[in-house]
Amino acid sequence: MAAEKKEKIIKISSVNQDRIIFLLLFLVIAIPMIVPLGLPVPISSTTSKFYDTVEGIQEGATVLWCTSMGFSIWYNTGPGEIATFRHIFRLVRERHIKFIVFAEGAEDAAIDRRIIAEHCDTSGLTYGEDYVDLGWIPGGEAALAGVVTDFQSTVETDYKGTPISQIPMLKDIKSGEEIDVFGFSSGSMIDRFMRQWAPFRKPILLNMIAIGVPLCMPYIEKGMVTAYINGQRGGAEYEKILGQLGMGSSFIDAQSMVHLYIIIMIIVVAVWSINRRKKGI
Amino acid sequence: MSVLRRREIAILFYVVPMLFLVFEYFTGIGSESSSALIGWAIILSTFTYLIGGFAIFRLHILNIAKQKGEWPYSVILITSFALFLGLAYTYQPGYKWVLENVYTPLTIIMFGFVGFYAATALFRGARIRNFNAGLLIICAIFLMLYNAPIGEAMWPGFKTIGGWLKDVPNTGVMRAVTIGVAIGILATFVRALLGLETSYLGGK
Repeated sequence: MAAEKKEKIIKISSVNQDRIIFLLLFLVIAIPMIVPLGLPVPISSTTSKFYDTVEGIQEGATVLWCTSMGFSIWYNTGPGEIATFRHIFRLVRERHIKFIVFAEGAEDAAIDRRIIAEHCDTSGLTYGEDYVDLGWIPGGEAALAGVVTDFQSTVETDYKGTPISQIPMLKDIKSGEEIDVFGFSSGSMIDRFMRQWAPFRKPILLNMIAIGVPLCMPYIEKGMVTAYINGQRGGAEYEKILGQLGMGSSFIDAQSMVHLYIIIMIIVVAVWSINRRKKGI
Repeated sequence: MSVLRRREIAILFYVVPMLFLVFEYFTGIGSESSSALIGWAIILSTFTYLIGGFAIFRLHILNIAKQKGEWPYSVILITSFALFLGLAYTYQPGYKWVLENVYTPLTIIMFGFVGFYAATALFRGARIRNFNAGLLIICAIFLMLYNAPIGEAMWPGFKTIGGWLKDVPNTGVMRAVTIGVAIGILATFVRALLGLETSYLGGK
Protein backbone atom coordinates (compact mmCIF):
# COMPACT_ATOMS: atom_id res chain seq x y z
CA MET A 1 0.00 0.00 0.00
CA ALA A 2 2.77 2.36 1.02
CA ALA A 3 4.77 1.45 -2.10
CA GLU A 4 1.69 2.06 -4.24
CA LYS A 5 1.18 5.46 -2.63
CA LYS A 6 4.85 6.33 -3.18
CA GLU A 7 4.60 5.26 -6.83
CA LYS A 8 1.53 7.44 -7.24
CA ILE A 9 3.36 10.44 -5.78
CA ILE A 10 6.25 9.87 -8.20
CA LYS A 11 3.79 9.64 -11.12
CA ILE A 12 2.05 12.85 -10.12
CA SER A 13 5.34 14.62 -9.69
CA SER A 14 6.41 13.42 -13.15
CA VAL A 15 3.27 14.93 -14.65
CA ASN A 16 3.93 18.12 -12.75
CA GLN A 17 7.50 18.16 -14.03
CA ASP A 18 6.11 18.11 -17.56
CA ARG A 19 3.69 20.90 -16.73
CA ILE A 20 6.45 23.06 -15.30
CA ILE A 21 8.68 22.41 -18.34
CA PHE A 22 5.80 23.24 -20.72
CA LEU A 23 4.83 26.38 -18.83
CA LEU A 24 8.39 27.68 -18.68
CA LEU A 25 8.91 26.92 -22.36
CA PHE A 26 5.70 28.78 -23.20
CA LEU A 27 6.81 31.80 -21.14
CA VAL A 28 10.30 31.75 -22.63
CA ILE A 29 8.76 31.92 -26.11
CA ALA A 30 5.95 34.37 -25.32
CA ILE A 31 7.73 37.00 -23.22
CA PRO A 32 10.39 38.01 -25.79
CA MET A 33 7.66 38.22 -28.42
CA ILE A 34 5.64 40.62 -26.28
CA VAL A 35 8.64 42.50 -24.88
CA PRO A 36 11.46 42.26 -27.47
CA LEU A 37 14.89 41.99 -25.89
CA GLY A 38 16.61 43.62 -28.84
CA LEU A 39 19.49 41.16 -28.90
CA PRO A 40 21.99 41.93 -31.67
CA VAL A 41 21.67 39.81 -34.80
CA PRO A 42 25.15 39.75 -36.37
CA ILE A 43 25.12 39.03 -40.09
CA SER A 44 26.82 35.70 -40.73
CA SER A 45 29.08 35.12 -43.72
CA THR A 46 26.64 32.48 -45.07
CA THR A 47 23.73 34.92 -45.24
CA SER A 48 25.98 37.62 -46.72
CA LYS A 49 27.04 35.16 -49.40
CA PHE A 50 23.40 34.34 -50.15
CA TYR A 51 22.60 38.05 -50.49
CA ASP A 52 25.65 38.63 -52.70
CA THR A 53 24.74 35.67 -54.93
CA VAL A 54 21.21 36.98 -55.45
CA GLU A 55 22.52 40.51 -55.91
CA GLY A 56 24.96 39.20 -58.50
CA ILE A 57 22.24 37.80 -60.79
CA GLN A 58 22.79 39.31 -64.22
CA GLU A 59 20.37 41.46 -66.22
CA GLY A 60 17.72 39.37 -68.01
CA ALA A 61 18.66 36.13 -66.23
CA THR A 62 16.08 33.44 -65.49
CA VAL A 63 15.64 32.20 -61.93
CA LEU A 64 13.81 28.94 -61.20
CA TRP A 65 12.62 28.51 -57.61
CA CYS A 66 10.97 25.47 -56.04
CA THR A 67 9.24 25.79 -52.68
CA SER A 68 9.29 22.62 -50.63
CA MET A 69 8.64 23.20 -46.95
CA GLY A 70 5.00 22.87 -45.92
CA PHE A 71 3.24 25.02 -43.36
CA SER A 72 4.57 23.07 -40.39
CA ILE A 73 8.00 24.72 -40.62
CA TRP A 74 6.68 28.05 -41.83
CA TYR A 75 8.13 29.96 -38.87
CA ASN A 76 11.58 28.52 -39.50
CA THR A 77 11.96 28.76 -43.26
CA GLY A 78 9.20 31.30 -43.98
CA PRO A 79 11.26 34.41 -43.09
CA GLY A 80 14.07 33.35 -45.47
CA GLU A 81 11.58 32.53 -48.21
CA ILE A 82 9.82 35.88 -47.91
CA ALA A 83 13.11 37.80 -47.87
CA THR A 84 14.41 35.88 -50.91
CA PHE A 85 11.24 36.51 -52.89
CA ARG A 86 11.29 40.20 -51.96
CA HIS A 87 14.89 40.51 -53.08
CA ILE A 88 14.31 38.65 -56.35
CA PHE A 89 11.18 40.65 -57.12
CA ARG A 90 13.21 43.83 -56.62
CA LEU A 91 15.70 42.54 -59.19
CA VAL A 92 12.86 41.54 -61.53
CA ARG A 93 11.92 45.21 -61.56
CA GLU A 94 15.43 46.62 -61.71
CA ARG A 95 17.17 44.13 -64.02
CA HIS A 96 14.31 42.45 -65.89
CA ILE A 97 15.07 39.10 -64.33
CA LYS A 98 12.55 36.37 -65.14
CA PHE A 99 11.30 34.61 -62.01
CA ILE A 100 9.70 31.17 -62.31
CA VAL A 101 8.19 29.71 -59.16
CA PHE A 102 6.79 26.24 -58.62
CA ALA A 103 5.94 24.06 -55.66
CA GLU A 104 6.72 20.48 -54.72
CA GLY A 105 3.52 20.06 -52.71
CA ALA A 106 -0.02 21.38 -52.51
CA GLU A 107 0.77 23.32 -49.32
CA ASP A 108 3.87 24.80 -50.92
CA ALA A 109 1.79 26.13 -53.82
CA ALA A 110 -0.39 27.95 -51.28
CA ILE A 111 2.74 29.31 -49.59
CA ASP A 112 4.04 30.70 -52.89
CA ARG A 113 0.74 32.39 -53.66
CA ARG A 114 0.60 33.85 -50.15
CA ILE A 115 4.16 35.22 -50.27
CA ILE A 116 3.72 36.77 -53.71
CA ALA A 117 0.34 38.28 -52.87
CA GLU A 118 1.06 39.52 -49.34
CA HIS A 119 4.78 40.17 -49.12
CA CYS A 120 6.11 41.05 -52.57
CA ASP A 121 5.78 44.28 -54.45
CA THR A 122 4.52 43.25 -57.88
CA SER A 123 3.32 46.70 -58.92
CA GLY A 124 4.48 47.60 -62.39
CA LEU A 125 5.32 43.99 -63.18
CA THR A 126 3.42 41.88 -65.66
CA TYR A 127 2.44 38.37 -64.70
CA GLY A 128 3.58 35.96 -67.39
CA GLU A 129 6.22 38.34 -68.70
CA ASP A 130 8.23 39.13 -65.58
CA TYR A 131 7.24 36.34 -63.22
CA VAL A 132 5.10 33.25 -63.23
CA ASP A 133 3.71 30.89 -60.61
CA LEU A 134 3.41 27.33 -61.95
CA GLY A 135 1.74 26.03 -58.80
CA TRP A 136 2.17 22.46 -57.66
CA ILE A 137 3.96 20.09 -60.02
CA PRO A 138 3.32 16.63 -58.57
CA GLY A 139 5.77 13.78 -58.98
CA GLY A 140 8.53 14.49 -56.48
CA GLU A 141 11.96 13.84 -57.95
CA ALA A 142 10.46 12.91 -61.33
CA ALA A 143 8.99 16.43 -61.50
CA LEU A 144 12.33 17.99 -60.54
CA ALA A 145 13.93 15.98 -63.33
CA GLY A 146 11.13 16.84 -65.76
CA VAL A 147 11.39 20.61 -65.41
CA VAL A 148 15.07 20.54 -66.31
CA THR A 149 14.99 17.89 -69.04
CA ASP A 150 11.80 18.74 -70.91
CA PHE A 151 10.17 21.79 -69.39
CA GLN A 152 7.51 22.21 -72.06
CA SER A 153 6.17 18.68 -71.70
CA THR A 154 6.40 18.50 -67.93
CA VAL A 155 4.67 21.80 -67.21
CA GLU A 156 1.45 22.21 -69.11
CA THR A 157 -0.17 25.14 -67.32
CA ASP A 158 0.51 27.69 -64.60
CA TYR A 159 -1.46 27.61 -61.34
CA LYS A 160 -4.34 29.50 -62.95
CA GLY A 161 -4.65 26.91 -65.69
CA THR A 162 -3.18 29.09 -68.43
CA PRO A 163 -1.31 26.90 -70.96
CA ILE A 164 2.39 27.70 -70.85
CA SER A 165 2.37 28.21 -74.63
CA GLN A 166 0.38 31.38 -73.87
CA ILE A 167 2.88 32.61 -71.24
CA PRO A 168 5.48 34.72 -73.10
CA MET A 169 8.38 34.35 -70.65
CA LEU A 170 8.23 30.54 -70.81
CA LYS A 171 8.33 30.16 -74.59
CA ASP A 172 12.10 29.75 -74.75
CA ILE A 173 12.50 27.57 -71.67
CA LYS A 174 13.22 24.07 -72.90
CA SER A 175 15.44 22.62 -70.19
CA GLY A 176 17.78 23.47 -67.34
CA GLU A 177 20.19 24.99 -69.87
CA GLU A 178 17.94 28.06 -70.15
CA ILE A 179 17.89 28.55 -66.39
CA ASP A 180 20.61 30.83 -64.98
CA VAL A 181 20.03 30.37 -61.26
CA PHE A 182 18.28 27.55 -59.43
CA GLY A 183 16.86 27.91 -55.94
CA PHE A 184 14.73 25.98 -53.52
CA SER A 185 13.59 25.79 -49.94
CA SER A 186 13.57 22.55 -48.05
CA GLY A 187 12.65 21.01 -44.75
CA SER A 188 14.20 17.63 -45.46
CA MET A 189 17.11 15.99 -47.32
CA ILE A 190 18.14 17.89 -50.43
CA ASP A 191 19.71 14.98 -52.33
CA ARG A 192 16.94 14.83 -54.94
CA PHE A 193 17.50 18.48 -55.90
CA MET A 194 21.24 17.96 -56.12
CA ARG A 195 20.89 14.83 -58.28
CA GLN A 196 18.68 16.61 -60.80
CA TRP A 197 19.93 20.19 -60.79
CA ALA A 198 23.62 20.15 -59.85
CA PRO A 199 24.73 18.59 -63.21
CA PHE A 200 23.83 21.88 -64.93
CA ARG A 201 26.64 23.60 -62.99
CA LYS A 202 24.61 26.75 -62.39
CA PRO A 203 24.39 28.62 -59.06
CA ILE A 204 22.03 26.88 -56.63
CA LEU A 205 20.45 28.81 -53.74
CA LEU A 206 19.02 27.05 -50.70
CA ASN A 207 16.67 28.18 -47.95
CA MET A 208 17.00 25.41 -45.37
CA ILE A 209 15.39 24.57 -42.04
CA ALA A 210 18.09 25.15 -39.39
CA ILE A 211 18.05 21.57 -38.15
CA GLY A 212 18.68 20.34 -41.72
CA VAL A 213 21.74 22.48 -42.48
CA PRO A 214 24.23 19.94 -41.05
CA LEU A 215 22.76 17.33 -43.42
CA CYS A 216 23.51 19.56 -46.41
CA MET A 217 27.09 20.37 -45.45
CA PRO A 218 28.76 18.01 -47.98
CA TYR A 219 26.95 19.82 -50.82
CA ILE A 220 27.63 23.25 -49.33
CA GLU A 221 31.29 22.56 -48.65
CA LYS A 222 31.86 21.33 -52.21
CA GLY A 223 30.16 24.42 -53.65
CA MET A 224 27.30 22.48 -55.24
CA VAL A 225 25.01 24.66 -53.13
CA THR A 226 26.30 28.14 -53.87
CA ALA A 227 24.75 29.85 -50.86
CA TYR A 228 22.18 29.06 -48.19
CA ILE A 229 19.95 30.58 -45.53
CA ASN A 230 20.22 28.94 -42.13
CA GLY A 231 16.60 28.68 -40.94
CA GLN A 232 14.97 31.40 -38.90
CA ARG A 233 18.24 33.04 -37.91
CA GLY A 234 19.37 33.26 -41.53
CA GLY A 235 15.95 34.69 -42.40
CA ALA A 236 16.28 37.38 -39.72
CA GLU A 237 19.76 38.26 -40.96
CA TYR A 238 18.54 38.49 -44.54
CA GLU A 239 15.69 40.77 -43.45
CA LYS A 240 18.26 42.98 -41.74
CA ILE A 241 20.46 43.16 -44.87
CA LEU A 242 17.46 44.04 -47.02
CA GLY A 243 16.30 46.61 -44.49
CA GLN A 244 12.85 45.06 -44.37
CA LEU A 245 12.36 43.58 -40.91
CA GLY A 246 9.63 40.96 -40.65
CA MET A 247 8.66 37.64 -39.13
CA GLY A 248 12.24 36.40 -38.67
CA SER A 249 13.35 39.48 -36.73
CA SER A 250 10.25 39.31 -34.53
CA PHE A 251 10.95 35.74 -33.47
CA ILE A 252 14.73 35.76 -33.18
CA ASP A 253 14.76 36.85 -29.51
CA ALA A 254 12.36 34.02 -28.65
CA GLN A 255 14.63 31.59 -30.50
CA SER A 256 17.63 32.74 -28.49
CA MET A 257 15.77 32.41 -25.20
CA VAL A 258 14.50 28.92 -26.07
CA HIS A 259 18.04 27.79 -26.86
CA LEU A 260 19.23 29.21 -23.54
CA TYR A 261 16.37 27.55 -21.66
CA ILE A 262 17.17 24.16 -23.19
CA ILE A 263 20.88 24.57 -22.35
CA ILE A 264 20.09 25.46 -18.74
CA MET A 265 17.85 22.39 -18.56
CA ILE A 266 20.63 20.19 -19.97
CA ILE A 267 23.09 21.52 -17.39
CA VAL A 268 20.61 21.04 -14.50
CA VAL A 269 19.89 17.46 -15.58
CA ALA A 270 23.59 16.71 -16.11
CA VAL A 271 24.58 18.04 -12.66
CA TRP A 272 21.67 16.17 -11.05
CA SER A 273 22.60 12.89 -12.77
CA ILE A 274 26.30 13.24 -11.82
CA ASN A 275 25.31 13.87 -8.19
CA ARG A 276 23.06 10.83 -8.18
CA ARG A 277 25.88 8.70 -9.57
CA LYS A 278 28.27 9.97 -6.92
CA LYS A 279 25.74 9.02 -4.26
CA GLY A 280 25.42 5.60 -5.90
CA ILE A 281 21.70 5.95 -6.62
CA MET B 1 -1.62 -18.42 -65.03
CA SER B 2 -2.33 -15.71 -67.58
CA VAL B 3 0.79 -14.48 -69.40
CA LEU B 4 0.04 -10.90 -68.32
CA ARG B 5 0.02 -11.87 -64.65
CA ARG B 6 3.44 -13.46 -64.75
CA ARG B 7 6.01 -11.95 -62.42
CA GLU B 8 8.54 -11.60 -65.22
CA ILE B 9 6.23 -9.24 -67.14
CA ALA B 10 5.99 -6.88 -64.15
CA ILE B 11 9.77 -7.02 -63.63
CA LEU B 12 10.26 -6.23 -67.31
CA PHE B 13 8.02 -3.16 -67.01
CA TYR B 14 10.26 -2.01 -64.18
CA VAL B 15 13.70 -2.91 -65.52
CA VAL B 16 13.45 -1.92 -69.20
CA PRO B 17 12.48 1.75 -68.63
CA MET B 18 15.10 1.98 -65.89
CA LEU B 19 17.84 0.69 -68.20
CA PHE B 20 16.65 2.99 -70.93
CA LEU B 21 16.87 6.03 -68.62
CA VAL B 22 20.42 5.12 -67.61
CA PHE B 23 21.36 4.58 -71.26
CA GLU B 24 19.94 7.96 -72.24
CA TYR B 25 21.69 9.72 -69.33
CA PHE B 26 25.11 8.50 -70.41
CA THR B 27 24.70 8.62 -74.19
CA GLY B 28 22.09 11.31 -74.84
CA ILE B 29 20.38 8.96 -77.32
CA GLY B 30 16.59 8.87 -77.09
CA SER B 31 16.22 11.98 -74.94
CA GLU B 32 12.68 12.63 -76.19
CA SER B 33 11.53 9.17 -75.18
CA SER B 34 13.30 9.57 -71.88
CA SER B 35 11.39 12.81 -71.23
CA ALA B 36 8.17 11.04 -72.11
CA LEU B 37 9.00 8.32 -69.58
CA ILE B 38 9.59 10.92 -66.88
CA GLY B 39 6.26 12.50 -67.86
CA TRP B 40 4.56 9.14 -67.37
CA ALA B 41 6.14 8.85 -63.93
CA ILE B 42 4.66 12.23 -63.00
CA ILE B 43 1.23 11.18 -64.28
CA LEU B 44 1.44 7.90 -62.39
CA SER B 45 2.42 9.68 -59.19
CA THR B 46 -0.69 11.87 -59.57
CA PHE B 47 -2.80 8.72 -59.64
CA THR B 48 -1.34 7.69 -56.29
CA TYR B 49 -3.19 10.65 -54.74
CA LEU B 50 -6.42 9.26 -56.18
CA ILE B 51 -5.63 5.84 -54.75
CA GLY B 52 -4.78 7.45 -51.40
CA GLY B 53 -8.06 9.39 -51.41
CA PHE B 54 -10.01 6.26 -52.30
CA ALA B 55 -8.26 4.26 -49.55
CA ILE B 56 -9.06 6.90 -46.92
CA PHE B 57 -12.73 7.02 -47.96
CA ARG B 58 -13.01 3.23 -48.02
CA LEU B 59 -11.44 2.75 -44.59
CA HIS B 60 -13.41 5.45 -42.82
CA ILE B 61 -16.74 4.76 -44.49
CA LEU B 62 -16.38 1.13 -43.39
CA ASN B 63 -15.54 2.36 -39.87
CA ILE B 64 -18.69 4.47 -39.83
CA ALA B 65 -20.86 1.71 -41.30
CA LYS B 66 -19.67 -0.80 -38.70
CA GLN B 67 -19.43 1.85 -35.94
CA LYS B 68 -15.99 0.43 -35.30
CA GLY B 69 -13.64 1.88 -32.66
CA GLU B 70 -13.53 5.63 -32.60
CA TRP B 71 -15.84 5.98 -35.60
CA PRO B 72 -16.98 9.57 -34.79
CA TYR B 73 -13.46 10.67 -35.76
CA SER B 74 -14.03 8.99 -39.13
CA VAL B 75 -17.14 11.13 -39.57
CA ILE B 76 -15.10 14.27 -38.83
CA LEU B 77 -12.36 13.17 -41.24
CA ILE B 78 -14.72 12.37 -44.11
CA THR B 79 -16.68 15.61 -43.58
CA SER B 80 -13.51 17.75 -43.45
CA PHE B 81 -12.06 15.97 -46.48
CA ALA B 82 -15.23 16.44 -48.55
CA LEU B 83 -15.67 20.03 -47.41
CA PHE B 84 -12.09 21.03 -48.20
CA LEU B 85 -12.14 19.28 -51.57
CA GLY B 86 -15.51 20.78 -52.43
CA LEU B 87 -14.42 24.30 -51.47
CA ALA B 88 -11.25 23.97 -53.56
CA TYR B 89 -13.29 23.43 -56.70
CA THR B 90 -16.39 25.51 -56.02
CA TYR B 91 -15.59 28.44 -53.72
CA GLN B 92 -11.98 29.64 -53.70
CA PRO B 93 -12.35 32.35 -50.98
CA GLY B 94 -13.76 29.68 -48.63
CA TYR B 95 -10.92 27.32 -49.48
CA LYS B 96 -8.39 30.08 -48.80
CA TRP B 97 -10.07 30.89 -45.48
CA VAL B 98 -9.95 27.27 -44.32
CA LEU B 99 -6.36 26.92 -45.50
CA GLU B 100 -5.15 30.04 -43.70
CA ASN B 101 -7.28 29.97 -40.57
CA VAL B 102 -7.74 26.26 -39.87
CA TYR B 103 -5.22 24.13 -41.72
CA THR B 104 -2.14 26.36 -41.34
CA PRO B 105 -2.46 26.96 -37.56
CA LEU B 106 -3.21 23.28 -36.98
CA THR B 107 -0.13 22.05 -38.86
CA ILE B 108 2.06 24.64 -37.12
CA ILE B 109 0.66 23.58 -33.72
CA MET B 110 1.36 19.92 -34.53
CA PHE B 111 4.98 20.78 -35.28
CA GLY B 112 5.12 23.03 -32.22
CA PHE B 113 4.10 20.10 -30.01
CA VAL B 114 7.34 18.40 -31.03
CA GLY B 115 9.26 21.22 -29.34
CA PHE B 116 7.38 20.74 -26.07
CA TYR B 117 7.78 16.96 -26.11
CA ALA B 118 11.45 17.30 -27.06
CA ALA B 119 11.94 19.53 -24.01
CA THR B 120 10.51 16.92 -21.62
CA ALA B 121 12.36 14.10 -23.42
CA LEU B 122 15.56 16.09 -22.99
CA PHE B 123 14.84 16.57 -19.30
CA ARG B 124 14.57 12.80 -18.88
CA GLY B 125 17.25 11.75 -21.34
CA ALA B 126 20.10 14.28 -21.19
CA ARG B 127 21.99 12.48 -18.45
CA ILE B 128 25.74 12.16 -18.61
CA ARG B 129 26.23 8.45 -18.07
CA ASN B 130 29.66 8.18 -19.69
CA PHE B 131 32.32 10.16 -21.56
CA ASN B 132 30.63 9.82 -24.96
CA ALA B 133 27.29 11.08 -23.63
CA GLY B 134 29.08 14.04 -22.06
CA LEU B 135 30.85 14.85 -25.32
CA LEU B 136 27.58 14.67 -27.25
CA ILE B 137 25.85 17.03 -24.84
CA ILE B 138 28.72 19.54 -24.88
CA CYS B 139 28.70 19.53 -28.71
CA ALA B 140 24.91 20.04 -28.67
CA ILE B 141 25.30 23.06 -26.37
CA PHE B 142 27.94 24.62 -28.62
CA LEU B 143 25.86 24.05 -31.73
CA MET B 144 22.74 25.51 -30.13
CA LEU B 145 24.62 28.61 -29.06
CA TYR B 146 26.16 28.82 -32.54
CA ASN B 147 22.69 28.85 -34.09
CA ALA B 148 21.17 31.46 -31.76
CA PRO B 149 22.37 35.08 -31.80
CA ILE B 150 22.55 35.06 -28.00
CA GLY B 151 25.51 32.65 -28.16
CA GLU B 152 27.68 35.09 -30.06
CA ALA B 153 26.53 37.92 -27.81
CA MET B 154 27.61 35.92 -24.74
CA TRP B 155 31.00 34.81 -26.05
CA PRO B 156 32.31 34.99 -29.66
CA GLY B 157 34.03 31.64 -29.11
CA PHE B 158 30.66 29.87 -29.30
CA LYS B 159 30.44 30.90 -32.95
CA THR B 160 33.98 29.72 -33.72
CA ILE B 161 33.71 26.36 -31.97
CA GLY B 162 30.10 25.73 -33.08
CA GLY B 163 31.05 26.60 -36.66
CA TRP B 164 34.02 24.24 -36.51
CA LEU B 165 31.81 21.42 -35.21
CA LYS B 166 29.34 21.99 -38.04
CA ASP B 167 31.93 22.40 -40.78
CA VAL B 168 34.50 19.76 -39.87
CA PRO B 169 33.34 16.71 -37.85
CA ASN B 170 29.71 17.04 -38.97
CA THR B 171 30.62 17.44 -42.64
CA GLY B 172 32.93 14.44 -42.48
CA VAL B 173 30.18 12.26 -41.02
CA MET B 174 27.56 13.56 -43.43
CA ARG B 175 29.88 12.85 -46.36
CA ALA B 176 30.13 9.25 -45.22
CA VAL B 177 26.35 9.08 -44.83
CA THR B 178 25.80 10.60 -48.29
CA ILE B 179 28.24 8.17 -49.91
CA GLY B 180 26.66 5.30 -47.96
CA VAL B 181 23.20 6.27 -49.19
CA ALA B 182 24.49 6.51 -52.78
CA ILE B 183 26.03 3.02 -52.53
CA GLY B 184 22.72 1.78 -51.09
CA ILE B 185 20.80 3.24 -54.04
CA LEU B 186 23.27 1.63 -56.45
CA ALA B 187 22.92 -1.73 -54.71
CA THR B 188 19.12 -1.46 -54.87
CA PHE B 189 19.41 -0.60 -58.55
CA VAL B 190 21.54 -3.67 -59.27
CA ARG B 191 19.15 -5.86 -57.25
CA ALA B 192 16.23 -4.44 -59.24
CA LEU B 193 18.04 -5.13 -62.53
CA LEU B 194 18.60 -8.73 -61.48
CA GLY B 195 14.96 -9.10 -60.48
CA LEU B 196 15.89 -9.59 -56.81
CA GLU B 197 14.22 -6.42 -55.59
CA THR B 198 10.53 -7.29 -55.57
CA SER B 199 9.08 -5.03 -52.89
CA TYR B 200 7.16 -3.16 -55.60
CA LEU B 201 5.48 -6.45 -56.53
CA GLY B 202 4.26 -6.94 -52.98
CA GLY B 203 7.25 -9.16 -52.05
CA LYS B 204 9.43 -8.71 -48.99
